Amino acid sequence: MIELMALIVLTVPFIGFFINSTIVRILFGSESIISGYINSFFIGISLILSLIILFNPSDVTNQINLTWLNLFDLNITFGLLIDPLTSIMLVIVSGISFLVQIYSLGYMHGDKSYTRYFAYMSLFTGSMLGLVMSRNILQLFIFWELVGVSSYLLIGFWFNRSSAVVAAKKAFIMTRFGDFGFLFSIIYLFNFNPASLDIVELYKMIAAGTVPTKIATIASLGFLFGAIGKSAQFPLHSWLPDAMEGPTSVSALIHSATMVTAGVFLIARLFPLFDHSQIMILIASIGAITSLIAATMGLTSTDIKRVLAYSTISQLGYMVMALGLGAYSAAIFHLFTHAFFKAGLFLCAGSVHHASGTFNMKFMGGLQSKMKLTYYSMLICGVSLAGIFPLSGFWSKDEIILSTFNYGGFFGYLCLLIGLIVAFMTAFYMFRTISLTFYGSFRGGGDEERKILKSNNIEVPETVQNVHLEESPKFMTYPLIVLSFFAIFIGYAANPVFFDLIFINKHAFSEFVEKSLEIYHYHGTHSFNFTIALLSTFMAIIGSLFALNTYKSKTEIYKNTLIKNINYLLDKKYFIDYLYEKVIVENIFYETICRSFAWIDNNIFDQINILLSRFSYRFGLNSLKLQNGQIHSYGLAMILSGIVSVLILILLG
Amino acid sequence: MSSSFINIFLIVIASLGTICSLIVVMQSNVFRSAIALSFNFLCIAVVYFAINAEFLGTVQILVYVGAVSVLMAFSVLLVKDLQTGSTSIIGVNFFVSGFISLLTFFVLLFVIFTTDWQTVDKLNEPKIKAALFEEYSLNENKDIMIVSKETPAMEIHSGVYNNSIIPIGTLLTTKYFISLQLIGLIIVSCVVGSIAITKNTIENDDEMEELL
Amino acid sequence: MTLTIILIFSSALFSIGIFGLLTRKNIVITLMSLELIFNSVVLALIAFSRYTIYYTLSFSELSLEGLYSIFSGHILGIFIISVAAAETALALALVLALGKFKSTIELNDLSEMKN
Repeated sequence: MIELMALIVLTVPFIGFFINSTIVRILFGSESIISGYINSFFIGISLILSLIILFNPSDVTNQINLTWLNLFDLNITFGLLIDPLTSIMLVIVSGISFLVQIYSLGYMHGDKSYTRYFAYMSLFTGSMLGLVMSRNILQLFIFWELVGVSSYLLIGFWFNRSSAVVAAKKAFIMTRFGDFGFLFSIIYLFNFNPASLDIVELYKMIAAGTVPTKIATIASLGFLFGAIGKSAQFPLHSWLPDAMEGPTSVSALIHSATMVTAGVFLIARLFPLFDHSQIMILIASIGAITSLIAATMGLTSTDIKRVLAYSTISQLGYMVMALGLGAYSAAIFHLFTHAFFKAGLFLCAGSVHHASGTFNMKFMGGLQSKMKLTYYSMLICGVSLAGIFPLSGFWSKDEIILSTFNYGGFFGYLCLLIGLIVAFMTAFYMFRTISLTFYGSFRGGGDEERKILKSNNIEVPETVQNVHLEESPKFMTYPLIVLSFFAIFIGYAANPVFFDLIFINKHAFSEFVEKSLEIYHYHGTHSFNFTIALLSTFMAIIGSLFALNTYKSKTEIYKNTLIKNINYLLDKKYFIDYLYEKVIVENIFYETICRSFAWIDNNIFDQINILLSRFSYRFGLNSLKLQNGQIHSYGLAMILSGIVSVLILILLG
Repeated sequence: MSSSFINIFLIVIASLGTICSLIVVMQSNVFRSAIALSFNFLCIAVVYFAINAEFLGTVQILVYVGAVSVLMAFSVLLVKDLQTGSTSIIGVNFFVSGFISLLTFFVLLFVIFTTDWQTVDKLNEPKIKAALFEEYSLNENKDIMIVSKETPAMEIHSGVYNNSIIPIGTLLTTKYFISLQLIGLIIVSCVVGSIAITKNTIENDDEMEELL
Repeated sequence: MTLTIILIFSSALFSIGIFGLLTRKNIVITLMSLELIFNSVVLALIAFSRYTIYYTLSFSELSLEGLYSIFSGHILGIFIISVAAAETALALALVLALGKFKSTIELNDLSEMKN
């Protein structure tokens, strides 16, 4: 029964995709609003069924497991895996997707490629649902790639804009680069034992101790690489800010709540493998470094969506750090709460853009009185992100910081320090964003920006639109209300730490999630440290007050040249983008490698061709002289060949 | 004794024949080549006579010396400018073909001297020796027997090599009869063909008289 | 020994015939060398049939049939001679016919192939 529902959950978005892309597009044209309603209907079905699955956990070991490929000794099975981790992810994905569909009904109204948008949306939702439900790592990889493709299609949705196309390409190629590691690990594990690609079997094998540490280490390195690519961790993080070229609702769905969490989900899913290997410290350090540098880059950005993108990267770093330190349930809990308030923040940003016509915070301000609903939603979600008691963000973030404290040792305390600093910076840039956007007086919006860009002879991007300062339409504000509600209550409701709520046990969420690792016999510690909670809240509140004070009346702080230089460094994203694009791609790759290969191809291989053709031409010309009609030459040839064959016969006995 | 006599004789005849054939090939005058060719045929006929192949020697003299050489000589006369054509034979071809012919000769010599010919000289069985060179007789089953004291006189046959015409005739009319007829057919067709080819080359009587 | 001498003679005639075949430009002399080659072959044939009958005769039973079959080589020689003669006649007839239609009868210039 559960499996049937899971199958329906998986296939229904794909049905929506097909209907939208074929029937609706052909029959009703590309601007029909029917596609939005169809999408919302199908994803609503997925949501309801996911909720039913969540409250009806089933036994993992006898779920659907079909043979996909059976060739001599090669036996690959695909199937479903509905354990607690999956059910939570299903609820997150289908829930946020449903809310974003409703939002898009309003946000994308009037767009030329309305139908295409919704088709891609359901394709994405279906792939993500398939990803979290897959039982075999190879099957997961297939859906992983599908998710990457949908992301590419959606980032480059407005393909007329060259910046969007470039950003889509960059996203796809960077994630693909990480997928190289993923594929390597799949092949490596397959080489070790073909049955180890099945996740349940893998858990059993690791619990029984049949997987050597060396193999686990190398395999998890590859999987880590894939997760780094997909979740925008430190070396491969620069695609996510550029991916904001897509529509805001796309950013809300994909680049805050679902796709980028696929990497974290992968690490969580293969947690036994990672735990068994020796690279947990590497994972934690990558997560820590990522959260730190992303938070610093978010301090100075003027584009509201980019601030949120850096915030996403930073929070993902938190999750990865938690996983690296062994706090499985803390990371998943943070993923759960983060999905809600980050999606809410993005949708608010879209709403702000709808009103003020610009994404540049330098030209916003004073929207508090004009857009009350958006203001309150953004404030609630922002406070939740900052991690202030008693909103949901506080509970999940506090559990992560507590896990660093419990890890102990030099590394644990270092991560604790980094966590607290990042909490401070998160609160700082979040409240910076809120004050720049909503407080003060209105600084012109899209019209002002267009004027200034034109006077500097810079091309005006298409995102700059006209100003109409009023609240967004109903379709756009209802999801904001729902998400803010969850941002307040879901944290404590899901994982109460003091005492049991009405029918929710203490630490219900953590224990529920840890049932996924039952086979692996993982037991996490669940406690509540008052001091640490106080400390993290303190950092957050200080950060928010500092930001509110600084940005009350001005838009920039240029106190002295030091801050100006730091500002410059952060603006240029630590020159990492510069490194990737100019140095590596342009100089090393194009100039050196490609040019030398082109030289080889032109001068060596083509010359070989030319030589061959000339040789055959000359050979043909000279062989022409053999058959000239002269009897003597024919006779010579005949007799000569006769003698030669006799000689060969003699000499060879 | 007799074998060494035959050897010396054959060596002389062979060298004579070789010299004649060299004259055939190297002479620029066509007539001289034709004459030398007929002399060569004669030498070969002499060799045939020395090897107990009298019938074939006769055929050689009749056909080759008598007919083919005459044919060659006449054709030289009949075609205009044949005898006055270019006569130099030294050209690029000379050395190449000389090399090839020498190569052929040496290959053949190599083969001749390295194979173990099982010649009749080493024949040991007295029955066969008698049958070939001396006398033999036939018994009731038509098997060959050595002549002994009881054999009546009229049943003694002389050795096969002593009159070689009897086996040839017997074979031609029994075993190779059809081939004989076919050969006749070939000869007739050649004759007819050559007449047909040269039929129209003489247009009128004046040419005929000129030729003659 | 005798056999060797005759075979050397035959190979000499053969090589000289080949030499003449490949060297001379005059058609008639070419045909003459061809005759030489034929003759050398017949000579070798007869020599073999006369001197190497040991194998065929070494069976225990000897019948008249077997005895007479020594002379198969002679028969083949007759056939070769007759066919060669007929063919020479035909070739010379062709030369005659050719001499009427062409201005030259040199072998090199008679070819009508280009290049």
